[in-house]
Amino acid sequence: MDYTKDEMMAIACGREFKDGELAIFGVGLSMLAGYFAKRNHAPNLTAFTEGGIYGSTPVGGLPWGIEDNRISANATSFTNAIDALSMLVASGRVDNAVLGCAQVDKYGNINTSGIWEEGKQPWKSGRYNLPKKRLNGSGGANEIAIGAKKYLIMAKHQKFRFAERVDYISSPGYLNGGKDREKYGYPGGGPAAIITNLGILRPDPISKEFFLDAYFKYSSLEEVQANTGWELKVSPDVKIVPEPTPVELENLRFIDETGFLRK
Amino acid sequence: MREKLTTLAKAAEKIQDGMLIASGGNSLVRSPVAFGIELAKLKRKNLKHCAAAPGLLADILCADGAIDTIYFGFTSFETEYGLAAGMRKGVQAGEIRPVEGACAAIIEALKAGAKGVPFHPVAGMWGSDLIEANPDFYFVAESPIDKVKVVCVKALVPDYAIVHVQEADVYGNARILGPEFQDKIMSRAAKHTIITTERIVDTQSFIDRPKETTIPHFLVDAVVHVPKGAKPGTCYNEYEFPDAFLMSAYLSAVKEDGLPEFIVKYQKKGVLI
Repeated sequence: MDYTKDEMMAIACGREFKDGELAIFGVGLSMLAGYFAKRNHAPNLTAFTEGGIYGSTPVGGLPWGIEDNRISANATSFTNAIDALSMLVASGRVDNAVLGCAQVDKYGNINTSGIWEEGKQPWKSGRYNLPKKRLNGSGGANEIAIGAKKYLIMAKHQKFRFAERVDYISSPGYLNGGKDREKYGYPGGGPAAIITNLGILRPDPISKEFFLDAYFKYSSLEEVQANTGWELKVSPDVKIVPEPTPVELENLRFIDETGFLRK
Repeated sequence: MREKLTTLAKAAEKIQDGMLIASGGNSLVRSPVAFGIELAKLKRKNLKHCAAAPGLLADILCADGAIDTIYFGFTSFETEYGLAAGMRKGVQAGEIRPVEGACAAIIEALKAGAKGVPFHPVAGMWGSDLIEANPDFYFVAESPIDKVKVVCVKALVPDYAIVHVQEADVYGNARILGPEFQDKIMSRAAKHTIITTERIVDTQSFIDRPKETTIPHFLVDAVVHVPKGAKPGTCYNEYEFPDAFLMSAYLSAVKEDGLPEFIVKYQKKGVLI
């Protein structure tokens, strides 16, 4: 194999972006996936960050954060966080985005807030303020989950991460499935795919429960199922994700100048 | 206009036990770190802090035990430095109450504070567990006109906002180069604002480029000239990368309860302002 598993994951995610889209990315892997898409097949993709940096591409390597100077260097405008998150994202103008998470469930709800001894709904036991592990919080992900026309979730495929139900919904996916999003009148369409280091999950069009749509050459149905915390359904025509082409790899490595995905 | 140039020590003295403070910047970017370090030395208690993505200043004060409540949307030092160590430690020990918003929810709460209204609607939020877990910060309201429901946040009115900028004059006119995040709103929401600045510039430059003024002098109580005042974090157009050595020294110091020693050691070496 002349590529790493992280590179495969970034390329699989990048393939989900189309030319001309307005997009917002998080840090690390998701930013590499997005800018890979721009270089590889979506030259007119426009990206911005939640702090208010618009229209730029990274210069000099992978930014260490979403407001790094590497991502400010060739921006076409600087605004502020409300302009970006409320007026562009939550209002429904963004076409596509990538979110990371600590936990994701079968309806694509994500938890980035904390892990509690009690498991689900910790505020009901009065222990909300005492998490076992306090995580980084909802951040700008909530607006993206609600407002983006569609978005992609990237997560390492591990049983504790892929839960039947997340401990806490930091950012809603399809909530309890079906038409549950409609109750809240969200402008956005919800998560279109969960891209993991083992494969790609997509939501059933009716129930909105995520199923395995495709897996990577080095993975297997058994490995995916063993690392999922719910009874994962598998598409009747489950596919193997095409391996990166030499051109895709070249474009990804141009963006990933510092070799973040090859470590 | 009144001259407001002062020292870090005198500006930090203004912050009293129990106050709600807000600090500008985002994560490792343009956080008023030097001010935070000065304030940590004063051993204040029961401070409350609010920001969309609280930066190093807030984390230092969490690690120092000065903060008992933190309003935030996102607390992390991102790809290379991970979760905000001081805040995480304090919350997990039950010493700091986390009031979790999404980033925009915190800014809308500041916006309510700035306008003098008791609450502000937030786009989105509904359906996440943040609402039910923080009933003293969020509520859901319904428009009597068209019956649409919307999540609202309670106003935040900081006693002090502390904002680090690239350029200010001695009167407090301040200019943020690069994205301003929430800092303009923060200065309008707070009762008082303290500016720390990379450079003191002539007032004429504000007269020449008035559209670029982020914070006007009459909102500002104190101006402190602190070159490199956001280090070991970054500041647009001034220093581009976090100081990797100091950041890991900071994170280990927090882990080992050695923040005071960290401050003394690295200030003595002249690498920490």
